[in-house]
Amino acid sequence: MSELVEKRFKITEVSMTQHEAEELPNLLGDASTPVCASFFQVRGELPGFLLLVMPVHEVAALLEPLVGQGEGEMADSAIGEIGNIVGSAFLNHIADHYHIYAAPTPPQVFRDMIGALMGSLAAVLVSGGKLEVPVVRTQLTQNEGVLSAFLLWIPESFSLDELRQSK
Amino acid sequence: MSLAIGLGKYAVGKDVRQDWVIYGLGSCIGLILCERWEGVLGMAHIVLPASPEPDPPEPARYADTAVPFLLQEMERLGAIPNRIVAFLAGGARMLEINGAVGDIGRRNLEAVREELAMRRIRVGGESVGGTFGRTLRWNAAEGLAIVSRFGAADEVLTPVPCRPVRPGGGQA
Repeated sequence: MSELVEKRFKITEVSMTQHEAEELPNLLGDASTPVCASFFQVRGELPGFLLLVMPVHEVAALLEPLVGQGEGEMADSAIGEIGNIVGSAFLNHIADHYHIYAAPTPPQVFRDMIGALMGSLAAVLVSGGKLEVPVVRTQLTQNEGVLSAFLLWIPESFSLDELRQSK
Repeated sequence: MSLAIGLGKYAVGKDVRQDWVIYGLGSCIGLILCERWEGVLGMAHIVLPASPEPDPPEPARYADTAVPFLLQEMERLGAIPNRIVAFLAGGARMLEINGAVGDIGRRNLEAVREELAMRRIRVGGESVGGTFGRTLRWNAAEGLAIVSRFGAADEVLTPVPCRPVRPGGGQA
C-alpha cells in the first residue's frame, strides 16, 4: 500500500473490545459521518467481517495524487484495492497467528454514512443470533501523522476471551 | 438538541417539541407514526422483520412487534388509531452477504408495510429501498418528516405538515 500511494503506513493501536451489535453504528463516532469503506466478508475457519473505514475528506487527500480525483469510479476502485492490500495483510497475520485458513471476499466499496453500513452489519449479526460481538480495531498511521482510518475485524465464531487467550 | 433513536429503540410522546432523529438507516426501517388530532407521535428504529419470540425485551427491534407496540403506546397517550398516518424510510440493500440472511432491507420493508396494512394504518410518505443510507428526522417545529442522504438533497416525506389540528391541541 505504501508503494501504491507513495506514503509509508503502519498499523498501530490495536484494541479488542466487546460490543452489543446495536452499538456498531456509533463505534467510530457520529453515525451520520460520511465515510469511504472497503467491506469484506471473511470466509474459511475464521468467518466474520473486515472493514477499512476512512472519512471522505481524508480519502480525497489520499487519492487525488494517486488517481487525480478524490471520488468517482477510479477513486472507488483504488479504495477497494487499498482495502484489499491492508485487509489481506491483516488477515494473513491473523491466519498465521491462529494457524488457520481465512480469506476475504472481493471488496464492496461504500461512500455513505458510517451508520448505514454498520447498522446493516448489525442487522446481519442480530439475525444470526449475535447480540454481542468482539471488535478488533486498529488505527492506521502514515509518516505525515495520524490518518483517521480504521481497520475493523468482527469475527463471528470467536469470543473476546478466546481472542485474548490466544494473544 | 435532537433525540437520537438508536437501533431497536423507540420514542413516543404527546405535544413533542424536540426533534427526533434516526441517523444512518441502511437496511433498518425508520418508522414515524403521527396522530395530529391529539398531537401524539411515535418513532421506531426497526432492525429485523420478525421477532424470534412473542414478547421480546426490545419490541421496537422487530417489525412484527414494533408496529403493534408503538400503536399501543400511542393509544395510551390518547391517539385514535384510525387517525394515525405512517412515514417510512430505509430498507436499503447495503451489503451483499453470502448465506441465508438474504435482503434484510426488503424483508424489513415488506414486514412493516404488512403490519401497517393489517391495522389499516395509511402510509403518508416514504423513502425506501436502493443501496444507500438515509437519516430520518422529525422536525417538531414544522411537523415534517425529512430524509437526508449523503450527496443528495433533503426529501420531505410529509405532504402537509403533520401538526395538531384539534383546537387547543399541542404542537406535535
